[in-house]
Amino acid sequence: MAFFTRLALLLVGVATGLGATDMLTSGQSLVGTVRSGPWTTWPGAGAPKPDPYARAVAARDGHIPLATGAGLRFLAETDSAGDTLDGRCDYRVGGPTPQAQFWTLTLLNRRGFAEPNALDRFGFTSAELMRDGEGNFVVEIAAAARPGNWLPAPPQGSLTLMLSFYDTALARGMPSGAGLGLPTIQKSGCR
Amino acid sequence: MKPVQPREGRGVRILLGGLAVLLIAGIVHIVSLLATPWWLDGDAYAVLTRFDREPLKTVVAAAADKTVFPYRDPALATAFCLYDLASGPVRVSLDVAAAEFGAVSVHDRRGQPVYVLTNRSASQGVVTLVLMTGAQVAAAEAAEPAEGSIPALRVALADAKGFVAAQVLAGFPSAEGLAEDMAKALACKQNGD
Repeated sequence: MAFFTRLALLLVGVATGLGATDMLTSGQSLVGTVRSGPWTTWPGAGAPKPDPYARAVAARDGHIPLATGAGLRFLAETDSAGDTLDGRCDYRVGGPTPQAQFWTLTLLNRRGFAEPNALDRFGFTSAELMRDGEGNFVVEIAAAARPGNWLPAPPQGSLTLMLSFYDTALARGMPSGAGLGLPTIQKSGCR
Repeated sequence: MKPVQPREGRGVRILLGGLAVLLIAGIVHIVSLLATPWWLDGDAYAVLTRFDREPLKTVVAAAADKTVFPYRDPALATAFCLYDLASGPVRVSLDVAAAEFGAVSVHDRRGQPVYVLTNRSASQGVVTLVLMTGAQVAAAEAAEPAEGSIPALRVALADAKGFVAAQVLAGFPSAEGLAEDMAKALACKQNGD
């Protein structure tokens, strides 16, 4: 009896340990993150000595981390209210942006790949965005065409937004996510 | 009094069992986490070698295929080359004179960036660096004259193998062709120094 109890404890321990590794390294690592509203970044992921979680995530999905000196990348899987980004809903991304020479906004699926669309448009760069008189911008994410900065979305499925800053001072001082002034993501309707 | 004793004993046993499970789970988690990069070959270097195994050749196919690397920025034109320092130092150069933003990043065998230069560090429009092992740096320093021409930036690497990524930003869709041509011009050559 004692033997089987010990065996059971061992198996539960092994399964829990492997499960934790799988959970913390599949998709995006939950460790070493800095959050700002719906946006999450991994400042250590692009450093020469990343934490073991960032290293394991890169080994699993094959993404190429952006080197810290080149820029900084943020991902959002929810809107600013905390609801999962979904192709069946329309979103407005807008507001001011922090200082960077260039930045881009890219729409991806949950696995990190761009879904094909008729326009062949997967994102906007800071250079090409239309802005209002005060320099603010709004990007409309919707399956159906919109006037202005329209980013075509797949009609369904979970979405990920990627905000990439290049040649930015952001990466050097990131004690906390607060006050970064990143764009907000507002749901404007669902089908 | 009598029934209390075994209940306490059971409580201690459950607690000990729980601690044992946590301890085992912690050890398994740490070991499996550290082992993940070694037993999985899904990292960027392994993916690139599926396209081309030949070192120093500029590879653009892996970047052109949008289903290869996740979390890629479509505004960045990208080209790669693999390096192997076993056969000597490698000189990497990228002309970014016409680029709004361009970066050359050096990645280790696991795909992690270990060094990066952007167009801000370009000399006469060209970003140049020489990849070396620690021993090759020491040999180059011993061989060079005390006063002479300024050598190219040397990057001492712990891993002999890895890859270089050239990334050039296209601010507008109309600039994509130009950015791709610039990235494709990534040059990785043997024995640069």
